[in-house]
Amino acid sequence: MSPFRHIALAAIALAVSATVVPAQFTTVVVPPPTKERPSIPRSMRTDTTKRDTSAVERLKEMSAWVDSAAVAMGIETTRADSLVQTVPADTAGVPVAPPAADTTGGPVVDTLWRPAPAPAPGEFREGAPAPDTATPFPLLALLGASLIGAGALLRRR
Amino acid sequence: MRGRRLAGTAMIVAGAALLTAAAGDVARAAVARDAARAEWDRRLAREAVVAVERAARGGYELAAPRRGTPVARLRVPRLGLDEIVVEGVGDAELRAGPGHLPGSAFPGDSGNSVISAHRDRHFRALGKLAIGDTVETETLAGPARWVVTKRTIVRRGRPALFSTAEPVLTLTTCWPIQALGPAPERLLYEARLLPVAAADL
Repeated sequence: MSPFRHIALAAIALAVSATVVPAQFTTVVVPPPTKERPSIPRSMRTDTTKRDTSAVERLKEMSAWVDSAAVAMGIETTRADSLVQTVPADTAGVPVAPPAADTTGGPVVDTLWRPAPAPAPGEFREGAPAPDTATPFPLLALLGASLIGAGALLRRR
Repeated sequence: MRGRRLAGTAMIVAGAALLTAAAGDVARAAVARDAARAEWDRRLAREAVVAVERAARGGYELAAPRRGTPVARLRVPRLGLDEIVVEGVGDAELRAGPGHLPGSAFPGDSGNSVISAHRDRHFRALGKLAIGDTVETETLAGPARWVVTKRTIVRRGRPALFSTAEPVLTLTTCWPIQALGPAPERLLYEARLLPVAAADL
């Protein structure tokens, strides 16, 4: 019997005996405890949004500072800055609008506000004049009667 | 001679055209007035049917009516005035009857309710209204009685209509009543709501 034959037989025996042995779990892998996420009130969500906006503003200013420094040093830079355009992820699930073009401490303007439409003529408003209720038809009737009378006089002569 | 006859004929034709236009407007106004009265009667009948359903829904709520829709009935017993008030104060609306100024309160509601009409038609007799006279209104919300408390004449275009917290009825027309052409002034009557007990409603 050649040594290769012994090796083959041993390998077969090992393989057969290995399939017979059942797998056994002796422990349970416990996942790490997850932090319970508190419910975030709407007011705090707004606050988060504001902080995100200010972070973007800081990044924008830093970018401008770096660009100006680069210009001063004679280094070519591209104006496009992906950080400026990035909208910060909102972990509260509230969609965040892109920051306004000018957020340098100016007053917050509600762009959804629209002035109330002025009342149309013929509608009530404070201090409105009384409606015009004159008709020209009495005057037209008088004029018509006068014309007929004058025309009849002219024809009679 | 021939030219004078031709001119006379032309004047007669022109005068007849003007008279026809005026008479046509009066006829259209009469038709519109009858239509408004018939529509008001239909609305009252419908209102009687749906009143129970509306009460179940929790009260009366009058939506803004379309222009020309009858919204109230106006009566001045002493003058024999009985007109159907339509929504709007445009030419077409005032042809049918007195017009309720859109945006003002409805008669009986809190606020100033403004009703205007032509001086030569529906409010021809308004100049005879006197302080202390009784005015009656009826809307789909119910009847109301008013007492005239104030008579004012203002120049055309001057501020004349103001908001009020309590129910007020304002009747307006052009002044002087008998004047021809554009009226230089406006006649306004202000009436206050009579309490329900005094109105015997």
